[in-house]
Amino acid sequence: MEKNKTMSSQATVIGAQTHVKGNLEGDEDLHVVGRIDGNISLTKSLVVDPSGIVVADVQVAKAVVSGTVVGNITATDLVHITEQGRVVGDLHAPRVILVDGASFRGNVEMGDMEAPRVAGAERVVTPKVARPAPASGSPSGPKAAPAEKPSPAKSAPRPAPPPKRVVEAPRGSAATSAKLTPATLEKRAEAAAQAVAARRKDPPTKKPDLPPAPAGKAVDEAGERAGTFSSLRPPRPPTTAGKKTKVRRK
Amino acid sequence: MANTIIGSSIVIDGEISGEEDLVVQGTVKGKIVLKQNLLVENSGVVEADIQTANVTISGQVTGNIVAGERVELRTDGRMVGDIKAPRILIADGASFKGNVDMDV
Repeated sequence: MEKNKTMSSQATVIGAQTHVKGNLEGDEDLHVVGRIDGNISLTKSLVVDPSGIVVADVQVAKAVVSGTVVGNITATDLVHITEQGRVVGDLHAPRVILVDGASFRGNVEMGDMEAPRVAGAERVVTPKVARPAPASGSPSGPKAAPAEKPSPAKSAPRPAPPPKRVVEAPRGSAATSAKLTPATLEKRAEAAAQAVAARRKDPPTKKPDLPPAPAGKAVDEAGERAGTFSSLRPPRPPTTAGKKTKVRRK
Repeated sequence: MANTIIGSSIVIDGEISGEEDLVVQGTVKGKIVLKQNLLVENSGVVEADIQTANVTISGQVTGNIVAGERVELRTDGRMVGDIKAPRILIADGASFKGNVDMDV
């Protein structure tokens, strides 16, 4: 009783026996001892007492939850879930405090956490650009087609490079020896076509397999970077490649 | 036992129901259903249909009131709507527009 009377001078109180359905907005603190169903939009803080129930999307400066909240909480300052608090929903706030004993299910977004991933993406892009160069200069049909095949699928460029290297050898020899004898040309063309066919089969099978593709890429990168003798090389490429693929495939 | 208080900067659009006293200093639009007392203070604005036992109005009410016991319109109170209650008090200075039904 006394507690509530002291609060009442400054704050809005939804009493234990009171049920509010609908939107609630305002510029002062709100204590919920009872229940609110609807949306809450405040410029100050929301305090949900242990007996309080809030089924609502909440937009506040500060939210302190000792009761139950079902809904997303967006706070400009902080969200604090105490040990008695139970929250189901997403939290969006620069500061989120989750105390031992609190129960929570949902996503947490604190903002400004994306920067490292972007930096990783740049690193991976550079070797990709360097690779397509050897494919140029072969005008014959079957070769041109496969060379283009992997590149449109930019979302999964990783499976392409390893097979490309294997096929490149016959392709180069076919191009040079083609001028010598038509018979050998046909044979080599067939071989190349078979290689191409094999390659076409390969990428699709590899694409679904998430782990092998990045691993192959990581090995390639590691191999490329080995020439630079960078001391930091071994730990980084695998992690960036792994993160990258995770982000993209989601 | 804790009272419910809607502070002066608060706007509620919807329904409030409960079994305890409600003090409105802010704005409530929609519907209020109580079993106890409703107090609309000077700064309070209620645009709602009200069902409760007792209503005391010092602020502004637009809507119909059905009270089980009593409705009191105080000096500063302004009310537009119908009142149905066994006891109705309208103080000097209060403004009121609407029907009164005392179940006579």
